Amino acid sequence: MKIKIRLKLNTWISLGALVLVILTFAWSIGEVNRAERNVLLVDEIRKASYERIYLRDDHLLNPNEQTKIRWYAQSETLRGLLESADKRITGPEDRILLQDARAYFEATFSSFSTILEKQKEPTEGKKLSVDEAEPTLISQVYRNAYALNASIVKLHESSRRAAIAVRNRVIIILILFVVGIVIAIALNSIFISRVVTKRVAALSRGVEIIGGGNWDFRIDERGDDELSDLAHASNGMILKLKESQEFAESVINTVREPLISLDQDLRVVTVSRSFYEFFKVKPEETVGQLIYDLGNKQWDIPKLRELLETILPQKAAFDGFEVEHDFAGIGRRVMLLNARQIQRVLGKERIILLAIEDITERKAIEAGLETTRKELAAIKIAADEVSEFAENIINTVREPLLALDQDLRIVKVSRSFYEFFKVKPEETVGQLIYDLGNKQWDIPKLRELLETILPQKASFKNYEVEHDFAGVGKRIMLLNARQIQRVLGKERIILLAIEDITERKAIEAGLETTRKELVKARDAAEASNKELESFSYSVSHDLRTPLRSIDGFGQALLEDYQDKLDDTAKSYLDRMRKATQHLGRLIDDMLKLSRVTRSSMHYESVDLSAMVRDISENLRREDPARKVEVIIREGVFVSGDADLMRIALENLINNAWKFSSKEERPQFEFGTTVKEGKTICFIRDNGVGFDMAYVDKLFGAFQRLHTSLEFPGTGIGLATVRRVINRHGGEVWVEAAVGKGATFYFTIPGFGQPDPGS
Amino acid sequence: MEKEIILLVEDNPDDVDLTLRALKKNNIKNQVVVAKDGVEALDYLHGTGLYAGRNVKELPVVVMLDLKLPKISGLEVLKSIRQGDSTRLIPVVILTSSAEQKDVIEGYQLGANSYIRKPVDFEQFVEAVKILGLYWTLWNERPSSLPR
Repeated sequence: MKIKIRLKLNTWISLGALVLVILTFAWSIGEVNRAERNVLLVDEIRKASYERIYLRDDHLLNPNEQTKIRWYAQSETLRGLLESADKRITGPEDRILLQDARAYFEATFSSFSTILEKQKEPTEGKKLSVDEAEPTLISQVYRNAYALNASIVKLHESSRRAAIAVRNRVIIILILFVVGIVIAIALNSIFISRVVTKRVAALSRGVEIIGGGNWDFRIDERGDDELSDLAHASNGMILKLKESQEFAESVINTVREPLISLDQDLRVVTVSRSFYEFFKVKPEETVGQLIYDLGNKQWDIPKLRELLETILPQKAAFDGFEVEHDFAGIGRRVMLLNARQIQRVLGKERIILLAIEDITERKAIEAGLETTRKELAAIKIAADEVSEFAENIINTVREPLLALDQDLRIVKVSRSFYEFFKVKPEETVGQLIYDLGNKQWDIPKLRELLETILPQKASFKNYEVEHDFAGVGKRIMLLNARQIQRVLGKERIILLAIEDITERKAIEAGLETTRKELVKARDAAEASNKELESFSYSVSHDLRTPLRSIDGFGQALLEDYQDKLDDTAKSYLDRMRKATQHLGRLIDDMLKLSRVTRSSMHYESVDLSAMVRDISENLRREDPARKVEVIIREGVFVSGDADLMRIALENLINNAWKFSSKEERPQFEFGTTVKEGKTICFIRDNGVGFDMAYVDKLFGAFQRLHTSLEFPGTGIGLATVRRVINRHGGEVWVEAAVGKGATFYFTIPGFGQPDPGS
Repeated sequence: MEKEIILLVEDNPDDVDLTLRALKKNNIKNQVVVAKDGVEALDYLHGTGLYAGRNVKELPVVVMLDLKLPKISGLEVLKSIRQGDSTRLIPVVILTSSAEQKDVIEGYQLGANSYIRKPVDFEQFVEAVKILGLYWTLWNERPSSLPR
């Protein structure tokens, strides 16, 4: 029976007993009351009986009607009381006494009634005589009355006794009940406590034994109460614990890496099999030893000491500590140490689990692996890129591209192929190339290339195929093919590039014609250039010679025949000489212009400022009388041909000099401005200027805006300037107004930073 | 008579006259030998041909050399002068109409001592000849003995 039920039973018994006691108590009170009511009734009977006797005796002494009536009434009362007593009194002796009393009552009643009847016969006024039969009757009355009284007294005493007896009985019963209940509860409690104490003690003992390390002990599970359940559960738990302990141990012995457990004094408690094997030590020289003393103190490593004695007590664990050490027997090794400090549950001490992993090889392999991994990653990236690149190329190239398998069926097609041949992917991929687009590719030449040449040479290049293609017409196609061994698959694929060179061929033909024409033109130009060169040479040499003669002899004439010539003749001669000299200058200028055009350019850093200064100094020397205000910006450098630049500047400065010659205060300025990031040079004078309407004529050869009388000149200078600037790839322009001077601007690509070296 | 000879190599008689006139006008009284072409010039210098038997040790103080000459061009004459043992130190002034850079450069490369372009203006020409003549005949110091 379960303890819980026992405890419940105790409660129920107590409650039941209490109810019983209450019922018994109620019943007892009822009994006592009934007994006491009987006592009162009998007492009343006794009183009524005494009253009746008084009335009888009173009547006998003084007979009158009143006493007689009162006696009868009293008799009736007594009869009633006796009858109610007959209903209530149950005791057998009392009932006999009551029967006796009733019988005596009836006897007295009849006897005295008879007496009372006889007294009615004498006449009125006459004294009643009680002699004759009366004495007998009276004695009968007295006897019976006495007996009645005796019965009633007896009944009275008996009822009193009965009442006392009832009371006593009730008390005894109550006492007995209480005592019985107390005993029952006490007994039950004692039983429970005895059972529980015994079983708990057994359980506790069992747990202690198991805790002491005897994992095979089983706690007694007999019984059907909670404690046996507890014992059963404990046994199950211990079994599980044992299993996990065994599992842990087998893990320790199975793991490849050496494992040892140490107690808190760092002595070896258990050692895995692999530890023995790895460090070549025996159990008997290991267990119980200080770890530092193991195998000729080879574990006495400062790093390990630090880990076990400093770090572990603080952190309870350490992971992945690498220790490089020269171990006796196995040589220099890199060990990876992991440790955990474990608080033993049942014992007070701590144990330390220390796992030792030899990562010497692993480190080496890891280093190698990392290198390999990086290389692989690089290769993969490269491969991906290449693959993507290839895909992109196929789809990007303008020329149609086909990939065929070894059966010459189409595997892949570039977008441009579809566009060019106006075919759709679904009617292309998987087809035999010869069947494409109504067999328009079934060309003997292509068959030969793909089936004969390609298997032999793995590629062919620039085969021209002329064919009438459906949809695109007669075309010349340039075929290039390459047979590729697929890296991953076994099969080969053929890449076939098709280029439509129809137009190109036509263009090439046209180009060839044009090229030939160009060559011809170049040859002609070269010839004419040579001609021009010899022409210039002739001009420079041969045209000037006669001029010199004319001028020379004209002068001779003037000198030698001065007195024979009149003024007109002298003036004519003078004009002849002037014309000759002008023609000489014209020739010179033309030669310059032609030289500027023909001469080869030699680029160098040219100091324009210095050049301008030099030219203007020369001009000043030639005509010292003229006072020209000269402003020169210093440090203007340009990359150009020095000779040509000098020719250009000479022309521009000469012009400035010349056209400002009529000013009162002639000014000349050389400077630079910057416009749109370009350096622009200018040469400004405050001379006569010109009308911008004629600006177009200004730079043409032999174009003049002034008469020779106003300003001498050949009209070639600015043409030369423009040619020089143009040859440098630059521009020259002018801004001017009549009477307000002119500003010539030029810019060439060679304007750069001032060159301090030059 | 001045011993110091000026050799004028000039094919154009006008130019010859004008040159002589210019020299005269500048009072340069040196003997002027005129060679009308390159061959003549070289004959004179080497004592051959027309000048066979001439004492070749008498060298001109200066050769005024035109470039555009019949038969042998002025530049060839110059080259020959510079290659000849006896003639290579003779001062040679190129006096010509051409101012082509090509000619100027080649002239100097071949060892011309000076290059003068004959101006059209006779007055300028006279001035040029004056300077030239004075310089080479008076001011210029020559080696005292020429190597053989």
